[in-house]
Amino acid sequence: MSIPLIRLELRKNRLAAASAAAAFLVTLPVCRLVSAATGLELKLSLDAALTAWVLLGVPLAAALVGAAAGASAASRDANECEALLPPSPGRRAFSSLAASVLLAAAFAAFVLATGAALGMPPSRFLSPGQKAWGASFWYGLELSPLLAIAALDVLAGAWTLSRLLGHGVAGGLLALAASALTGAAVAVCFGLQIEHHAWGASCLKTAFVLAAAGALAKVGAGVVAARGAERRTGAHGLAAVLALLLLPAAAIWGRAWTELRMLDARATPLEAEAVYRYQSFDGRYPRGSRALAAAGEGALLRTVRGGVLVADAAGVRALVPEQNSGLSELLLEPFKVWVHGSWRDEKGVLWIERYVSPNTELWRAEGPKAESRRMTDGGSISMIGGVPLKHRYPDAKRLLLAPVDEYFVRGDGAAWFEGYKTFLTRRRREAPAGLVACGGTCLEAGGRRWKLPGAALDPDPVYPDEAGGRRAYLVPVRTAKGEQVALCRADGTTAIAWPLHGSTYQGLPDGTLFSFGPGSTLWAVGPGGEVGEPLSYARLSLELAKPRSSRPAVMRRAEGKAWLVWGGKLTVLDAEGRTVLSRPLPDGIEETVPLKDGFVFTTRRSAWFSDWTGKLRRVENPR
Amino acid sequence: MNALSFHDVTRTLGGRRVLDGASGAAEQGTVIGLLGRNGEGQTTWFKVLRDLLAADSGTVEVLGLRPDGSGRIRQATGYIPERPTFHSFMSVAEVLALRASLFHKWDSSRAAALCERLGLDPATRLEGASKGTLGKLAWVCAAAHDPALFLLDEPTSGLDALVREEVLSGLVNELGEAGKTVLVTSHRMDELAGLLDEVWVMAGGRIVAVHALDGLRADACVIGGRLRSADAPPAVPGAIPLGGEGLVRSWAVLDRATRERLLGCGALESPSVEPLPLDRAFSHLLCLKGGELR
Repeated sequence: MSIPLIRLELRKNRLAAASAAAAFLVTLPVCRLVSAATGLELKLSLDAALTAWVLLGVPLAAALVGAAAGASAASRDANECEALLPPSPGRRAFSSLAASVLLAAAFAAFVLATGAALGMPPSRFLSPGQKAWGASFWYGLELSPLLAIAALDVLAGAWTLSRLLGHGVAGGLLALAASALTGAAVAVCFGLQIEHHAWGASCLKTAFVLAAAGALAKVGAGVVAARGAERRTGAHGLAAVLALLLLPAAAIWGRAWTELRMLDARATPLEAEAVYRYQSFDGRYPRGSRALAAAGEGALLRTVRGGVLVADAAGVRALVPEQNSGLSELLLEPFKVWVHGSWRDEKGVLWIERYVSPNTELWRAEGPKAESRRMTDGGSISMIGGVPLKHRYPDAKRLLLAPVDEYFVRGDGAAWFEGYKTFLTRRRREAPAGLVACGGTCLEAGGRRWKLPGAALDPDPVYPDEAGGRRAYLVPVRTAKGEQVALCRADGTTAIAWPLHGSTYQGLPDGTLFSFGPGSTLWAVGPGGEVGEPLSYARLSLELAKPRSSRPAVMRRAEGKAWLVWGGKLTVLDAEGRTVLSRPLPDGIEETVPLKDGFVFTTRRSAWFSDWTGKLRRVENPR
Repeated sequence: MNALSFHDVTRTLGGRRVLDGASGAAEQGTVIGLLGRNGEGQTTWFKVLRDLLAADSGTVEVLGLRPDGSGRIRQATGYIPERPTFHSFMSVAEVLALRASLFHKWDSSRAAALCERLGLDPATRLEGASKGTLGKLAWVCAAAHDPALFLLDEPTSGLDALVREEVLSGLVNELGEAGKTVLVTSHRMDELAGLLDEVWVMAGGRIVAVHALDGLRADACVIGGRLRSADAPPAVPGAIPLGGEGLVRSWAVLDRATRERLLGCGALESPSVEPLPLDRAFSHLLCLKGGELR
């Protein structure tokens, strides 16, 4: 690229951008006319128009400037003028592409600045969660990157095709059609809640488009110079670019079609891990990890068509009844039903949040059944201090937060802050944090003091875990052997639990806590607080040809052995790391959750239970 | 040292071999006229020399640079196209400013002096500009960065008589005297005759003949005479039959060797030798293909 060439390209293509800007400006008085004619509030009509311009107008304008620049780059006049110049055809082409990106960005900025001048800041359109639309799905959604990718995609496509065809209208329309095809596929995937499958392919499409633009720019001289003389080359190039643009869309549609056909059998994981974890006391994860383990029977949760299924040793059952979205609803109102997530609170109660337009429901499950509490005022929940807190945005500035029904208000006033502080203080009293004392060599909590086997690594409060059903503290310390984690047991004794390696440790249903150590080792603290010897799974790792960063899923750690699910097998290792049992498991394991008597796992179409000997039982189709 | 050398260059476009093993070399400071009929490959060859089109095979070296697609060759050469084209939304001054930002050795004072010399107003808008204005601007653009090699494709096309005279007797002459290498094509090569050192003939995508202009001036002639026998008209390679009546025939001859072969073959009674004007010599050169008559 070259600055003078970019300036030249900006000048050449200013008409296209100016046309888009003029069309946008014409909209504003039209809004006034619409308001006058229909009685609609002017601000609402402007809001709608500006939203349409931001969400649709910007990509369309990008297509317009991309097509104009591409056609201009292919024109004989431009080539005859510019072929005399030193920059290579590739640099000229990249400058043309860069200039059209700048023009599209300038147009977007112009639309947003006009909105801001009319009292509607960019966040109103780009961060719809701030708009208090009520639909909690939108909370935190940032459209800027999506819009930028969409605009870049359609711009590069329009530029490439227009340059190949030498025709701006045809190139622009083809690019828009290709982008619409991909966009529709992404929307359907969103509706099916498999958007993660769509993002990769749509980003791949954008990458393809940019690569095609780059390749065309690089070989452009030959193609353009030879147009007419080597028309066949141009046709081959066009076919290749169209294939690049359409293949990802076809892949996404194929995926969506598969999902649609399997609608009845479809399930998506729902934070199964959350069953065994809750957030630390005030929502922070201090150094040394603190994903606290909650002892108790586990279960595997899945969302299915707006409901939640639970899979455990007893089978698969609905915890939250399904809320059906038919295919038409799926396409027309994809976010009508949306299960957001699940949390287990400090008492072991499972909370599930579901949005059912226009309300948010909060489901509470202590046993096999869940009951619903409907939050008719919208909002969402977070788990803070082991307690589910409802929150919602009544307007752009304020946040309402409630443990159950009582609201704390965050925003400009101090009311929320004070209330929230009070809440946290109360919570701390109920589950007291340990405080590092004696210059870092002691831990004090609940009137008890532990002498640490080293110096505490940080002065932050230490939040309690459970070991053997009793409160215990895990404190990162520095000892002569390096950084390790000290276990402070309820009986006042201390021990080194494991070396500080990575940042997390996990709990198992029997109360065992475990952590991975260096050199492919597994460390554990037993249910009674006893510290076991590390177990090496290095040999197994070698046998399965796993990369060093890969770790097994630990299902059980007892009797000096470890039950691991890894590489499609259940493997039991003895204390020496030797394999004492190896059982193949069905292909395509998706999730595993350890239970007391075995573990449950899912494949794409089934849920399975395995006992500790590897005896398998299909639990039920988790749909 | 050669300013330009190329060997066995080929390039096929649309299935047609437009350059077919072109070879040649130009010494630095030489002014060369390139003769060729339409469609013989001059335009494609110029594109290859300016690194706008890659050769399919063969080697090209321009001012010591190999074509690599980077534009280094265009930085170092000046080019005037047959039909100069500029962005119509610009003025002369804007065109020059754009080039000043892209050519490393651009000399704005030189550009201004050339504008003045050619009577080109920098404020002139290019939309609807005359052919002459575009031609003058092309000259300024080609020369203001003081390139060592000029590629001139019909450099006087569209210029009025006065400006043409200025260009020919002034600019091209000065380029030659300044030691610049010039490669020029023109359909009116005779008006350039006083400036040329060599004439290259391009036909069938190759350089088929190279003549030093001094030699052409001295040796090109028309040989006429009466055939000794009507049955055996002489067939001397390079001698171009001009026709005649009965036994009286004449030939155009462009070099000394052919002239001596024709005179020495004994087929003519009391042959006459008359000098061949350069314009006619150029016309006859266009009839050659591969050194032979078409």
